Amino acid sequence: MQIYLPIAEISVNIFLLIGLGGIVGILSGMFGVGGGFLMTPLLFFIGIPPAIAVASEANQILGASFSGAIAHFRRKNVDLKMGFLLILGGVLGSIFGVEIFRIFKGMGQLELIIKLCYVIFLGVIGIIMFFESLKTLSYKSRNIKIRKTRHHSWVQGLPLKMRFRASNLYISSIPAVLIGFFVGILASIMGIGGGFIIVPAMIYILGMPTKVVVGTSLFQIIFVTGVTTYLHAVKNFSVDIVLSFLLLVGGVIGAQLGVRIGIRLKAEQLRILLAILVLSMCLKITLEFFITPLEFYSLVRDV
Amino acid sequence: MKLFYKLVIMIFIYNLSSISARSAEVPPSLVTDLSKKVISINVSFSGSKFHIFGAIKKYASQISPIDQPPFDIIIEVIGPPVEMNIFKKEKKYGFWINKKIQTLNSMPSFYSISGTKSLKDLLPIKTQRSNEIGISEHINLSDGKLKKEFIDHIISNGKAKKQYNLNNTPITLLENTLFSNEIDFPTNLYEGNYKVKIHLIRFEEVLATKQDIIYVKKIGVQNWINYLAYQEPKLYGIACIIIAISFGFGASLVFRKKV
Repeated sequence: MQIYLPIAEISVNIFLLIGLGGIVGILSGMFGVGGGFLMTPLLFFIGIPPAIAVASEANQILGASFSGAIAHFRRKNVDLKMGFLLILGGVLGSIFGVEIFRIFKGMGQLELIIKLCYVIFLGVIGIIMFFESLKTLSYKSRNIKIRKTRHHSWVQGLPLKMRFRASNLYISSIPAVLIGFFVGILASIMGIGGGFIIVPAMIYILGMPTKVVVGTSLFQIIFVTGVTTYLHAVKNFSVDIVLSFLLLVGGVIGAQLGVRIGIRLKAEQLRILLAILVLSMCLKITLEFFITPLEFYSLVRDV
Repeated sequence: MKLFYKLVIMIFIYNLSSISARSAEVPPSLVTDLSKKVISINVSFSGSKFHIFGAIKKYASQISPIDQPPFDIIIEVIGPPVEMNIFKKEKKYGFWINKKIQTLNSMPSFYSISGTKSLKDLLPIKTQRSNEIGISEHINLSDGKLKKEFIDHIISNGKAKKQYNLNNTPITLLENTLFSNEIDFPTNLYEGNYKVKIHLIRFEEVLATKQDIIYVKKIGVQNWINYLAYQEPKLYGIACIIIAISFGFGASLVFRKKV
């Protein structure tokens, strides 16, 4: 059954979209990742214009993260003060990112920029994940615990210090805003939530306790993706609500399944497969830059 | 059935026209109709089709077989103009990068041509140009003169996207009078007026041209979403946020009960 996407202006099989949402949902449920970085490139592959894929995916992440954020908020796993600093940075980053998006769109280089960002992002994430999972596999067999290192000496030297009760920290507010800003740019250009970056940054750079990390990052993600959705809708007219809704339907069901699968199977050992998937997507996008194109000319509608 | 009735009416008109005797100076003309006047794009839109019917109206002197060589018909369907940018992929620093070549202010968003014979066999280029018939003419019309190389690429690009259709099923002219043609619309249609131009051709000359309009519009939810997204983007942005949040929230309620 075909469905016509009103903003993307193409007709796509409805089950393909729900199915994609479902598969990415399962993966994100199993591995506790957001899924934006998997979904957006898959949308490119099925022929959704990158600009629309990115903006609609930001909206989907908003929906997918909302229930989690509520749950963590109820359990008081959110450091509100830190969250607001991240959101402040995130909103500024998103405004900046949407502006970059608009400029490159006008130049006709938007697709290139989005895809380049994905090549770098997927490449780095894939390689890190691949080696991390190799490490965990080998450590597990040797029965050795992974030691966590906490070093954030340079962070302590920065001015504008604030007290964060929930995280039990007294640190500068600058790195939190900067991290938020960086993730805000990524959210608006790549259509990802950025949990992948904020979570390690909160642990290793800010030194936050793991208990509040996930809740605070979800709290930040819903605000930043919300603002990103709004800005894309107003500035670039690129949010396709039908697309994001169908992906949400698949994604929500998939995530529930994924959590259950993750409990039964040892997801940590399957993580290497996820790493391989990420790396192969990276490779596919990279090749497009180097393989001589079949069609040299393209026509793009000016909106 | 509808098709059949239309044909019957056409034959009737044809007979009427043959009976009425007029002076020899009156040129033949065209009587045409479309099977649809409006094409609606709704949620389940997956392309559409419509028929063009027509008859050649001749007068007494033209009926005699001696001075009546076979007529030829060309049917063009031209979509609403859109602003397009042409990009060319060029190798730079080892990458294939898009380079903007030109902005075309009013490219036909759709084009289809069909005829009893191919256009180049019917009309010399000069006549095509003076009568504005043919895809190259419509692309050229939009922005002065374009290089032939670009036009060829625009055409092949349009063909690949099924927006330009240059090899439709040939038209057969029944009794040298009646004709019909089916036009396929792809899924990636733009909203607006589509001009249907029917040309009557004989001796490398355009005897008559008739123009009709078929209107493509988005209806229902599609129309509503489009209206909001482009006319009230602020409201639309907020609506997107609310829909996503309420769906996420609703889903969490549903699944919480099950666990």
